[in-house]
Amino acid sequence: MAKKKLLIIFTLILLTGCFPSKKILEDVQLVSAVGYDYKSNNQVELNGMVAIPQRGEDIPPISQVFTATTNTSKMARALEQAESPKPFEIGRLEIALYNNRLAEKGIYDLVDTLQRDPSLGRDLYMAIVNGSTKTLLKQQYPLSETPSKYLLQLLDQNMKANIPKSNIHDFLYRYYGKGMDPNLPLIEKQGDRIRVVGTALLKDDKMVGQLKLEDSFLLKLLMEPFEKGIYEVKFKNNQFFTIQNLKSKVEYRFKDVKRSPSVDIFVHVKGRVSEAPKIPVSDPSLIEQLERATEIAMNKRINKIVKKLQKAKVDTIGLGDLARSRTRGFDFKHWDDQYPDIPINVKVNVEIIQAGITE
Amino acid sequence: MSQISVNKQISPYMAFYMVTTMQIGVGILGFERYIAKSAGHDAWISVIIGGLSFNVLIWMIYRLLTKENADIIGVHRNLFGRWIGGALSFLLLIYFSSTILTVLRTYIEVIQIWVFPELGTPIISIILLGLAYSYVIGGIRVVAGLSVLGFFISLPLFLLKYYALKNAHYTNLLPILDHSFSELMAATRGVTLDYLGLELILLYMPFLKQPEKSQKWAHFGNLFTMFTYLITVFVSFVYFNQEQLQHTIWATLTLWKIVDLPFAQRFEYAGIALWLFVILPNLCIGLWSVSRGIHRLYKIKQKSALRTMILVIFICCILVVDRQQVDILNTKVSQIGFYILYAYIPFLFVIQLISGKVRKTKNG
Repeated sequence: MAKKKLLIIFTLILLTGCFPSKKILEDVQLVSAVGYDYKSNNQVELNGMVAIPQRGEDIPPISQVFTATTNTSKMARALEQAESPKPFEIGRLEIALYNNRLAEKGIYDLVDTLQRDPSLGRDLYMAIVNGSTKTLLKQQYPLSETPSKYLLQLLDQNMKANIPKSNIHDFLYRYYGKGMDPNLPLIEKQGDRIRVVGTALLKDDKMVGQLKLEDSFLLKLLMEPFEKGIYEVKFKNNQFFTIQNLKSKVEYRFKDVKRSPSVDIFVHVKGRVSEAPKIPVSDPSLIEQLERATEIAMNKRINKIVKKLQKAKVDTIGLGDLARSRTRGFDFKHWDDQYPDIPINVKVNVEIIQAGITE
Repeated sequence: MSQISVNKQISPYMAFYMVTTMQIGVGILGFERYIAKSAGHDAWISVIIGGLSFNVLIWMIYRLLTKENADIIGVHRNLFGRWIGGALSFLLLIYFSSTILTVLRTYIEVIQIWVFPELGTPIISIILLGLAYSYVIGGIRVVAGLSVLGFFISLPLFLLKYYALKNAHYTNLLPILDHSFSELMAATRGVTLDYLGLELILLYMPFLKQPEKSQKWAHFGNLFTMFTYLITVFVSFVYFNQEQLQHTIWATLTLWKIVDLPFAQRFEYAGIALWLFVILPNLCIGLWSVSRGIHRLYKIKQKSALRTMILVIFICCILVVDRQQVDILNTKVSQIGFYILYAYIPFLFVIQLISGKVRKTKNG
């Protein structure tokens, strides 16, 4: 019996040699943001931003950028390793940035390496940058401790109000899915600020167009219900007022999908007048006029946006998928062929329910 | 079978836990992709059809065994005699052992891909098999208790579906019944593989006190499995779209990734660890039943049968190296299981009916 026990203990000791090596937080470099820049036709420059914690309490971390150029992104990480004192870990990656030139060529291969890695989460943010991602990540911003934290908060905040929601899961959902196309936020470095300038429209994984920030808000109205955002409308004699969205809803109606389809989209916005200099908003008849003015302005702009999407053959709203869910035996090929010419009518209905606390 | 003493038997309601824990194994972590291949977003209908058809099979198994008042080895002996019956039992035991191997190897693969890429197969299999051995040696009562424990430990994992539902696209499930009958049947065939496992009842039934009473619990167990699969399929279908699902090997595991708790950012690691409590009873019931079968068939001590089995499974486990081989193992074993349940059991059932009539006329 004693011999047996000894044998067991001995085997267990031998086993310890086979266990995986430990990863200790202090001994690894956590990459919190990556940026990909266009280098040449088959080369990509990869920039990894690392936040290095400093000794002592209340001292913010320093951010550092490691850069390497290669063909595939994992190789680039290996090259970066040559400069770094500690091994990289991408398990805490929060954001991936893609240069606009690169995005025009297609980014799926780069996203694929990220989605394949089991250590990464599904809530990773992605964005397209006008200009170099390297300079964007290298800059120190007074608004936040590190660029990655800044970007994270910036996108989080904007996705609630101005631009359609989009993280790596949404991107892949719309990339793989039939009858829909992905969109990503478009950002730009302006001095020591980062600015969301609009939405990048993608066909498959290639950027084919973009919408301004004001238009992104309208696109968001077409895509999902939400509760924030501000829109500026021109009123009579060059007076402007802004309307704040308190609650928006969207409804789609499809007709004759199988032969000659047409789509009606109804957007309902419940809002409040948040700024109306020189307009006496307490007047009920005036409120109605403001509602109509907003509806007309939004209608005009939204229908332009939809035309633009159709012209570029991108289905950012996902109308194809919605049509599929309402039609038995739906034919995607037929729909895709017709998509640029389908009559899509958007009707915005605005209801102003408050006008602030003063009269 | 009256020789089994009451203090070795388990209560009839245990059939509920033993049936569900055997059915829900590694398959649930990624079966959505396979069934969606043929029936798309309508595959949930196949989950229901498959589950109900298994209720019929449970009824057949109970009729088969209670009539002879024996386990499958006894039934084989009664119907086909010592030699042919013994050979059939032997083949069946080989099938059961390979299901154990499949569960073990697939779980090891999940650990290797998701948690410890550099951890070798031998190490994990030694740990898991050693753990299983220590439970199985305690007898059927310990094994059954373990399956109850596993059931309740894994139950809270249902709550995690909430996170996926926050991001759901419910229109993915529409239009309902947009697939042909043959497509639905193909998916049903795929889904039956995930209901496999309850056939071990063929071996452990004599250990249930009052088998007639346990039948209702076995049905409930199967229905609970169906309910679990239904929820899983629904949630995966509204979170992923069909094309994306085809690119996702472990849909359920990927869903755990989005769980965002203030104290744990990556829940899937905890989930995979918790899943051990689903896998372990699975292995234990399998090992216990098959070693019991060998003991009945060849008059070898159950303990030594168990040890030999563990050794053989360990060696086979190491021989399966990569993803493709694991996939082949899974498909082959479940194909065989499909035929055993849907062809062999009805066949036995009919043979028994006929021979019962023949015996009666002889006696009469």
